[in-house]
Amino acid sequence: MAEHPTASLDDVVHQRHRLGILTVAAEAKRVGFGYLRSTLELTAGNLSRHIAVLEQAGLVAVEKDYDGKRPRTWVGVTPAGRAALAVEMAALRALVERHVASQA
Amino acid sequence: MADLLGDLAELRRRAREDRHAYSFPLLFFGVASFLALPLYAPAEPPSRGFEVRYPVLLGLFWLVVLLAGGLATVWWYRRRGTRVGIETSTRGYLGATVIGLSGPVVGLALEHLPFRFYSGTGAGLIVLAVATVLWHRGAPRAVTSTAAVLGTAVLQHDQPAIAQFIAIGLGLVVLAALERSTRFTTITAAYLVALCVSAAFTPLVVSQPTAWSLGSVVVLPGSVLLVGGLVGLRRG
Repeated sequence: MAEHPTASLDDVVHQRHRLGILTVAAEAKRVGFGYLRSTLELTAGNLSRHIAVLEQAGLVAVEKDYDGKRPRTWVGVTPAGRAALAVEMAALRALVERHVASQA
Repeated sequence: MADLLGDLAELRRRAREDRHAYSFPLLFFGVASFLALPLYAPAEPPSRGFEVRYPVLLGLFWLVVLLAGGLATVWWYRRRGTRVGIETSTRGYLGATVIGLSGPVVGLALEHLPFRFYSGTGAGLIVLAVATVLWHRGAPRAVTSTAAVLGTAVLQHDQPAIAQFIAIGLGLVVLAALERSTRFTTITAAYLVALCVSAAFTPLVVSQPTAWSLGSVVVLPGSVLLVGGLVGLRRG
């Protein structure tokens, strides 16, 4: 019997905002902290906490540099993060398809 | 769940849109194409072939344009990425620029081959298609790069009048793949079609060649670059 799609959902990735961070970061080489904050409409503290969780899981890498005297934080998705995102998206799509099929 | 997928698709679309910076390379190479027109003055006395008066100057002009354009494009993407807060990787484009520039060098070696291709253009396109498939399948970089260099070199060797546009096209194809922009991909496809049409139908061999008849090979692809750049500029 095929495994239920929910078995593929990863708690670290599945959280809505962390999924958003990974989705945006996967589209670029790296993304600025400010860009993520405004795009995802999160507070700095909240975004920092989510990034820390993803970094601890090895799904994103954080870099810091300076724009003049202003410190800047960049977030880049790691190969593990890209793979985890692909698994999560496939599981979500499978769940939606299952739901649609059960309604038909 | 479907809402979440929709939100993620919207985030992805927005991130791609914010990364777009393709108007600069299109405008740069488009303007350069038209600036090159005076250098397409025919040789004295005029011959029936594709012979310009200052071939070294023309070659040097395109070498500088390709080199400066490639580096300026990388600078432009990095600058925009820093300003907007979302960066596009330019490593692939740099690689494409190097491949485009190395084509004529490898082409010199092709002169010494003990055989001739039945159709250099066909062989070059097939090798480039193989390189693209290898790239998509994640083949070792050395294999993909070698195939890309060979394909480009064979193509440029067989189509010397548009060799510089082949190099520009290679860079645009890589940039379009990196940007994942439908509009940029469409412009790049239109450019490649214009390039093929230009190579196939431009009357390079005429009895009384002029700067316009020889330079007409750059007008069509150059126009597509300019129009595409202006479209990109208008859309932001």
